[in-house]
Amino acid sequence: METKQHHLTIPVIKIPQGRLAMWVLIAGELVIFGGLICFYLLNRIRYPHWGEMAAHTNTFIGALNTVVLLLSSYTIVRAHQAAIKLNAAKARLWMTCTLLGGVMFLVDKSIEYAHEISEGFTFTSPKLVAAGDHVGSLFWSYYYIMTGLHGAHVLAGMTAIFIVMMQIRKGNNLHRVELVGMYWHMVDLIWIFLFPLLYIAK
Amino acid sequence: METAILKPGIQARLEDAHGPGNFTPAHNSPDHDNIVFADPATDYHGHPQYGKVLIALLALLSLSLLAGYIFSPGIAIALIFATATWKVAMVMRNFMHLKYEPLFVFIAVAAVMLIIFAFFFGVYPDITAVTHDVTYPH
Amino acid sequence: MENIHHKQSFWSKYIFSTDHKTIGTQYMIMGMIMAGVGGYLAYVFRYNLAFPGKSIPFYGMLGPQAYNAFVTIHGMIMVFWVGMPVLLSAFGNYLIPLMIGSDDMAFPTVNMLSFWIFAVSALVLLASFFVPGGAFGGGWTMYPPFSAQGYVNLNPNFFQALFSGTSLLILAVALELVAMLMGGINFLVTTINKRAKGMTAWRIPIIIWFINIAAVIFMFSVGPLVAGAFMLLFDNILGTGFYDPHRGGDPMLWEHLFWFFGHPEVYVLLLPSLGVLAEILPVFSRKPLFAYKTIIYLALASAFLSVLVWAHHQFVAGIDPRMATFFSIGTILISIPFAGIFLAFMATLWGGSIRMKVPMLWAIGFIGLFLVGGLTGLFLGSNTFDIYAHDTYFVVAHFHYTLFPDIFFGFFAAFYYWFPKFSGKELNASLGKLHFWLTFIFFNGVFFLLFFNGLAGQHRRINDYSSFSLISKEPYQTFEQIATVCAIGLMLTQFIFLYNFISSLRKTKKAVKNPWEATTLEWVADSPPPHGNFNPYPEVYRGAYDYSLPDVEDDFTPQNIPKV
Repeated sequence: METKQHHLTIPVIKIPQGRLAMWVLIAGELVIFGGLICFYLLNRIRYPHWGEMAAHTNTFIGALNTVVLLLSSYTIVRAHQAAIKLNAAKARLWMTCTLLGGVMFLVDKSIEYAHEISEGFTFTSPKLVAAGDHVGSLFWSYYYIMTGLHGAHVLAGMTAIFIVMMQIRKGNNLHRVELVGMYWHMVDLIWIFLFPLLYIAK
Repeated sequence: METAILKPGIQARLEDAHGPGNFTPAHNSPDHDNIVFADPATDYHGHPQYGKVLIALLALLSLSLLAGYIFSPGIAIALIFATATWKVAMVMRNFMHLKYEPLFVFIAVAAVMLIIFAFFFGVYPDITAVTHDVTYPH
Repeated sequence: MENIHHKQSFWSKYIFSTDHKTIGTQYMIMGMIMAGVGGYLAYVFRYNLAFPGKSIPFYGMLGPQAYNAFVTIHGMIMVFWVGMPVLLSAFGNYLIPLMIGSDDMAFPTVNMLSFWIFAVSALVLLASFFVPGGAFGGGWTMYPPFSAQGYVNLNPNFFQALFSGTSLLILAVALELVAMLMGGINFLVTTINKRAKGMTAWRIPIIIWFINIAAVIFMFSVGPLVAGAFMLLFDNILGTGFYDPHRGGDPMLWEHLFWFFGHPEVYVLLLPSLGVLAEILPVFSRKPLFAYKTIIYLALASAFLSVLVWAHHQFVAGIDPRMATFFSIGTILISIPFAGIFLAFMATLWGGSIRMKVPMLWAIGFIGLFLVGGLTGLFLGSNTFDIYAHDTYFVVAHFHYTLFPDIFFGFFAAFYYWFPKFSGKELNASLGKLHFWLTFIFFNGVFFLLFFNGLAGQHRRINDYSSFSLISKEPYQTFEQIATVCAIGLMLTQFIFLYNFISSLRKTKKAVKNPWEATTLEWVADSPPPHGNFNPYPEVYRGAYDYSLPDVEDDFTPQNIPKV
């Protein structure tokens, strides 16, 4: 006897459940990052000295990472297109490209961090503090927490994409390609804002 | 109302139980795995040209990188943030399909922006517009 | 596989259940346990305030550091581990699917995860008492530089700093916020997508509207705090300088981001209880709710305003005085939508045929007490008065006159109201009335006199007032003692409730399906509702408050009755 409720409901907002939940999650994450970017901006305007600190970031790698993320956003949206056409194999191909983009982003980031750490610019920058440049050390604290939190989200997004790739092998749950793609776009969005703030504004 | 593409035989079984109609099985119903995908004809009203959007995004990125070399600092900053905002809007509208979503979603995202602005302007006088030097050697 | 048909083990049925009713119950029980802990902490420091220097029964001697820690954790527990889980999670989880005619939440597994993350957060909080150094004692607001000292004080040792009271508290709060965020997403998606056929937006009961508005306010205001909490944690365990003025950071940044969330948070706590009132008042006056749509618009207006008034907690912190004017005006304005809601409640009562059952007693008690809290809030909203009253017991009395009715009277009203549905049994009404009156009297005994102490200049968060000559003499010391005795009475009274709760569960007499003769959909389900809630699922034909319709014989018409 069928006693489960069926969707004889009228979803008034006309948006499927998963997408709605994803938008709400994205809105919540944007407030978190928006807050962090706000704190950075407030301090950046207050301390022109941060411009000199920002000169030590590697604009080339930053721009390269931006291109990589934009391309990976493109590939995940192509995966979504393939999923709409019920082509699971093609979707997985595009998703693999996205994962490669994510890996490249993280590798670039690691190279960049290694270089900056070797120059003494770390999360707490004890060398700068010892030299009396307290305000400059605060720039690096913000730099690492912002890019670090973003990097953690890149990793989480890659994990989610990988899990969904496994789930769509038999052609089931293809709607999840779009959902995980939306999360990946959010990660890209945040980087689009982080890049000028940390790298260009000198 | 959004309709789902169901695996063969499922539609017939649901119609036997409930009469004719279009069904989207609930998330935790046993038929949920039988959804293949939302019907694209009724789900989105078309899709944007993703390739063109990508080229536009890369062009905007190049513009913002060059701006620092061509323009004066003030204009360059304004241009850089304007292009960043434009890129964000393009990604949201096209890749995340925000322009095909109901108005509700756009309001939610716009509300996020408003809230961040409210925080920024509320805090600005106390954190940024400080004139004295608060740091001194330990 | 259909959940109804496959056998569930003890673990999947009771512990890791995905059924919204079980999860709601788990949140409620956890909240009640934490309320016991928070109440015990309050008992200890209240005893110390009334009888300084004496050994406290069931505790011992209370040192200054322990006093600070108890005051801090009492506040933390009551807001985050009692208010939020009981009012938002328990009510939301239990009621939303039932009142919108659905079988469960939109994401049952996420729901289960959110409870267990919450449970872990409570354990982390309690663990902070037992680490070296004890629990954090710097006030529930965790202001730096005091809260950022971990790295400095414990001479840089990452693990010592990580397992200190401060860091554990920050971690506990972060986990709790994550659990509530997950719950909030669930509530919104369920309410939007899983309503019964015929339930349009304007037929949704007010409590469901309010819980969702509260979830939205919460999600949009907690962002900066989550980011800022990470920064505070790193200040403690790694020695960064986010809030350290020596390093260019700013303690004021923490104050702003904390209160940017902290103020909307009180409305997040308030709205579900107002929703409970909106459900109870029409039922027990046999009248439709007055101005249903207006109440919703007012709540939306207050939600909008609530994110614009946060710095009224910082009037004396050194903020720009011009901003203080702006925040002061906003604070006074925000009383208007809430006053409107209360007027609508009173209009609902006006001319109704009142049934003075136990839920109604709690609801009316709420209104009376909250009025005192709300009016004193207007005083504090004016920045000039606040310069005098800030950090005194006037503030303490104000927020207890708002939060205690909100959390406790709201909870008890809802509990006595929905208990027959929740358990299929009835609570003893005489014990319920005794519980109400004793709670009401003792509560006023604790906090009313503290207004006067505050106006006399008694500052809060001080464990020993013997060097304050004005405060430690009469009548203020007597007021403290009366407050403590009443506090003990208040806590002992709750055992009447516990006895009523447990003994009623063990009764054999079953309650009728709709003992209060209410119109909303949850009363259509069996008592207690089975897995899947309804068989068959109801369809909705009318709004939620069709009481005493002129052309109908019954004095109430449930939502699922078609129009004749």
